[in-house]
Amino acid sequence: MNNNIFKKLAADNIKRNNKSYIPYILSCIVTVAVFYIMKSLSLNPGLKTMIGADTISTLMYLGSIVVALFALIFLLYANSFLVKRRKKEWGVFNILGMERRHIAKTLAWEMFYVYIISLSAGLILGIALDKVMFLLIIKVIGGTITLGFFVSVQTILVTAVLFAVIFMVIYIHSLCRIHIANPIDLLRGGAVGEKEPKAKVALAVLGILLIGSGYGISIIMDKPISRAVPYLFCAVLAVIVGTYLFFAAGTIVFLKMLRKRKNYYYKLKHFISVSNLIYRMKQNAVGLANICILSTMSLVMVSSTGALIFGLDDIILTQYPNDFDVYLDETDWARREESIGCIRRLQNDRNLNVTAEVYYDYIIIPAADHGESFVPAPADAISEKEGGGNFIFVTLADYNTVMGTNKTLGTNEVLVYSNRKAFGNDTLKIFDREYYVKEDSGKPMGNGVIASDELDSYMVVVPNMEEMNQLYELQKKKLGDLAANICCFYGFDTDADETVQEEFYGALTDTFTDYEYQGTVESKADAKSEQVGMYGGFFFIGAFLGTLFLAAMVLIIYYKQISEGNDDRERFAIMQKVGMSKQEVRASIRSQVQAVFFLPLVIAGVHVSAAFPMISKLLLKLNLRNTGLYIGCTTVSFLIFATIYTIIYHLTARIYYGIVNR
Amino acid sequence: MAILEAKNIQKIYTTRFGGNRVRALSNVSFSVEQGEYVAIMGESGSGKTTLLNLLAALDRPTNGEVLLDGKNVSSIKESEISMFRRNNLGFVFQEFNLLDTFSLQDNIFLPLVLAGKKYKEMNRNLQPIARKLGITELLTKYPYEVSGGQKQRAAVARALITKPKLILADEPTGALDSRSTESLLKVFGDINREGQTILMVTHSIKAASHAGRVLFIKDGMIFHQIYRGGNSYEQMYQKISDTLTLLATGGDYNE
Repeated sequence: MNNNIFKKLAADNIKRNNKSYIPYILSCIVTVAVFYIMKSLSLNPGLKTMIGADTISTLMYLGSIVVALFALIFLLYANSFLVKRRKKEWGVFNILGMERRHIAKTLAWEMFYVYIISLSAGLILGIALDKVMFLLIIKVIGGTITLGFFVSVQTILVTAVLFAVIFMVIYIHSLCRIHIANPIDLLRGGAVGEKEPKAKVALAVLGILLIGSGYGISIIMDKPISRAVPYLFCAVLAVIVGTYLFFAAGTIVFLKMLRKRKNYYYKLKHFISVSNLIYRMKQNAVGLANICILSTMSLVMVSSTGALIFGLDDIILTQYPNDFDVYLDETDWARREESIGCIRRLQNDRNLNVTAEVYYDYIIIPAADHGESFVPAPADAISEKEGGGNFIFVTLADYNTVMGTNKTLGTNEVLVYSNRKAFGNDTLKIFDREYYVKEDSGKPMGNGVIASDELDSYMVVVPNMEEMNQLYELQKKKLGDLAANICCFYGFDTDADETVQEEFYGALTDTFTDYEYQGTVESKADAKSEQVGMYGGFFFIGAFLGTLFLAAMVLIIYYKQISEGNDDRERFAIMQKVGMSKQEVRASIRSQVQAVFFLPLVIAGVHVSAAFPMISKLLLKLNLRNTGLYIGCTTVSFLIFATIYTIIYHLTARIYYGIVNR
Repeated sequence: MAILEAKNIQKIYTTRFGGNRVRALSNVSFSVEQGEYVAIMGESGSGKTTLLNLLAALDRPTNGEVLLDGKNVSSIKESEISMFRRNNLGFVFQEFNLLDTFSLQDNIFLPLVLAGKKYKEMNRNLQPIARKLGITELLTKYPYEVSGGQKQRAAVARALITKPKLILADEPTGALDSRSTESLLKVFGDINREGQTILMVTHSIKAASHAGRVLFIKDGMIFHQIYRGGNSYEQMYQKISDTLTLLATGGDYNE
């Protein structure tokens, strides 16, 4: 046979099977477009000029990898429906004398056509949407640069190659499906009486245990987040695997248990639903688990990044107590005075109106909790052990000046103020010293170290500078080269607007570099635009992936309804013949479809709630203390999500009824 | 007393576009007495299936009426028709129409579940029927696990379990091999002797030869009927065969 025949046959096949091919090609087009957008965003030169650009392009790069993986899984899934529906057709060809390699050739041409169509349409769609997305992301991040229309040749090439590979995998997968079957099996296709799925109790129990342990880790984990990461990673994995097992085995075990309860099972309402669901679950377990996991991921992403964006002002405030914060690490007191004088001169030169000033000395001593006492150690060593934190020692005089208070301390008395949880002990033992904690609740002085360090921080107010110096000597003896210096915090506020502040910040850092002053200079305005960029990127990715997952879900659901509708039509025709009325059929269909449809949503809701302690702890480490805000964001995103989901349900359910009642 | 009466039934289909009218049944009248075993024979396209659909209240006649137990089937409201069928009729189909998702037992229970019966009662009804049909051992099996003959016996059990006034069988032996056919016909004979009224549509002479009376339908009309009387199956077979030959060769001119 010459090649033209295969070409023609392939084209005819696509036309003839347009009912299954059109949605398939549409899914391919959307996937191509999404990948193109992700990839091109990460490469867009315009993005590089924007604030926080590095973070965003890294995130976009990671995003494009996620999308690529997802595209593969999703298109394989969509293709399996196609293969199932076309088995009969291939069986006929086979019996009519086409050899398998001829079928393989025809299929190759079909794949090629689909590839060309979806690649070109997808790229056009992607390039168009790219422009829209770009305007959107600029709006989110708050940048002001208008970006030109950008078409990346590199991205087009990468997209073409990636999807060529994906289509190859799909092609090979389809071939395997055809090859393992003999013509008779192919002919009968989906019509072969399906075996009832076995109830795999062990797997079901394992699934529930995994989900439970994942939840458990999230809820009871009390380790600092950096040490908890491996556990949390395990928790996420356990929940994902558990979810698959739950859908694949757990639901069937549960339904079979229902079936054993005779008085429940033999009721019109349950009889047909339960028995059909047992089969549906077998076919749909993976699809439903996919939907559930995708929903959970997008919900968590959107709500947590949303909370970060909306709570940004809070975060900035704790991390940057003043408009400008200078942390001086000069051991030479003369140079210290000199550097502050230098800053003041700069303020005058640039006419920066300073509205408030804060100035105090401090020393940070990280220490591990050894029960009886705290043992100083390098900060990174502490994070490996149980408990401990940063102790920031300041003098009573400085504290009273800065906070405007009038506290007093006796010998060996201290005030302990913490950023997160209260200290909780009556005494504080460190080195050979024992202090009596006079006060354990109150506001620490503003210090970015307290806010941004992931260890718990305690600000310890000691009676006088002499005490500070002794502590300094003690820790120097103990830690040697790793010992900290007594540092100086100098913060000031201004009423100048943010652009002026950012300019001043530039000048200030230049000065510090020029004179080689030891220390760190931070600007709230600068940090804010940086963080808006970063969290904006997070939020954008979250919202974008959420939308993408939703789109993928619509397609998955559409396929499910179509293929199930075709299977169920015969079943319901029989039931009508045996004496079931149209209304009863309708009611039974509704309860089944709803069960299948809303189970993933419900489980996703449970997952999100279980992730709540973990995520809020994570957000706390990012200094988002406003838990209410996070709850609000989660609730709102869940409601929006559920609404969209319900709309999709109603639309596809109508298609399903149409098929079943035909 | 007649349990089923068909009075001057006429069924005309109008084709969808041209308005061409096709007469499927022109004038059919007959009645089935309580406890009778009637077979209706005819070639494909003779109107058998149309007739059966009308009797089963799946379709309505253009003219005439179908009376089941004295009640006009056409007058039943659409909303009650499913319940009516379920309470009064039992169906046996050529393609069995068992649901793959149910075990044989659950398939048999289906009409009872639809009628809202309790499990205990259902099970009480099932046991004697299953024993009679020899499927007690198979009840927990699924349709794809048993043979065609066994499936059809399960389908018969499903038809019997509601204790219907009338069993309507549409080519019940059509998909069975000869041994299964034999045993199914024996089952039909047995339940008929126990008083069950059966109306069977078939074009198998063998199946028809087991009936007490055979109606022949051709071109939408009842053409002829044969009573078994004292005839054996073999004699009945011969008579039916002769009648069919007459029908096929245009015997209406010779009679």
